Amino acid sequence: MHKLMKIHVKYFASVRDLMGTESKDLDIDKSLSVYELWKDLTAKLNVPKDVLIAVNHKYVDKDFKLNDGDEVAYFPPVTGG
Amino acid sequence: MKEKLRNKINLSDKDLLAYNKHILLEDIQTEGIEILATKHIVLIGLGGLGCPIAQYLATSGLGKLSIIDNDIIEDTNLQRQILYTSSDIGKNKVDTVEKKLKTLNSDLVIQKHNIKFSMHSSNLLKDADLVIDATDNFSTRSIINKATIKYKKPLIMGAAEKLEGQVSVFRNDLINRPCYNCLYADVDDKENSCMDQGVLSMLTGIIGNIQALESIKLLLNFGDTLESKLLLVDVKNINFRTIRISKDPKCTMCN
Ligand SMILES: [Zn+2]
Repeated sequence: MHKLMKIHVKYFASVRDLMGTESKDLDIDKSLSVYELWKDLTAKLNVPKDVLIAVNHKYVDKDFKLNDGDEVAYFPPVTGG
Repeated sequence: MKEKLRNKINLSDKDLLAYNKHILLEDIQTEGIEILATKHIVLIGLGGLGCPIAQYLATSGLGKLSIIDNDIIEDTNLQRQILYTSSDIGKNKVDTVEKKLKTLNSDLVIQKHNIKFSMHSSNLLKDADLVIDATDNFSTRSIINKATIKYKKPLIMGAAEKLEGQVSVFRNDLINRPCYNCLYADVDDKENSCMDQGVLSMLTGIIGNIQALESIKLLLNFGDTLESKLLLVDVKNINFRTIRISKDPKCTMCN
């Protein structure tokens, strides 16, 4: 049996609009990458697949594995001007 | 044609008045104004970001500004591209910006290039002190990143769409620092943005001004900058957040 991991999720800018909330707290029972968690969180939503991700205020790759107590932030790519 | 930068070892009375409020700042002083007069910035893009950047750099006492854009001014630009008025519609952006900046600061040396920036024109960056990316699409941003790595120039990137924006300073003049591609290599659908999207005019003003601000700080070496950091701006909820970026060892651009 896995110990539950506490993860704090933040949504930034238009991702916040898409998700309808600014943040949420999760208890997850398996080891997940930040992008696997994103896919779980957005499974029932029609959202763009591109998202940028930071853990504890540091930019991470999509395969970064979450640890207990992490704050993961999802934010949109911006390339216009 | 070779234009010479001003030699401002001795600031004139006119300069002392023009730059008075900056000279009074501990972080700038007369030395800062003298240094700025010797500096050259290349600004790529004269849209919603480029207009405020050009305007504020012109009145900062910068020595030389190169402007690169091949667009014509259109009706839909006026909402946010604050250097243009309705009588400018149909004119070249570079010509119009040059004219406006000359009225703001006749001492500024301006070099204009009515072209779309590409690797073929990357030698325009050769004698720049830094480069500002104020363009509106991923592919040009990528080329600017590559060109600044080639010529070892600091790059100040700003982007804005809808009600959100990003700013970063990429030290492509130094080794072992993250570049634009370290951040954006993973994003597939890069052109989802721009053309068809709305953008709030005040947002482009905010992002452009932060780019101009960071460029002055970098040239005069004061304060903490957005080096190896990404500033996320959400003006809808007036939220600002800074995240750290490190070099991606797998990045195909900067390794
Ligand atoms: Zn890189």
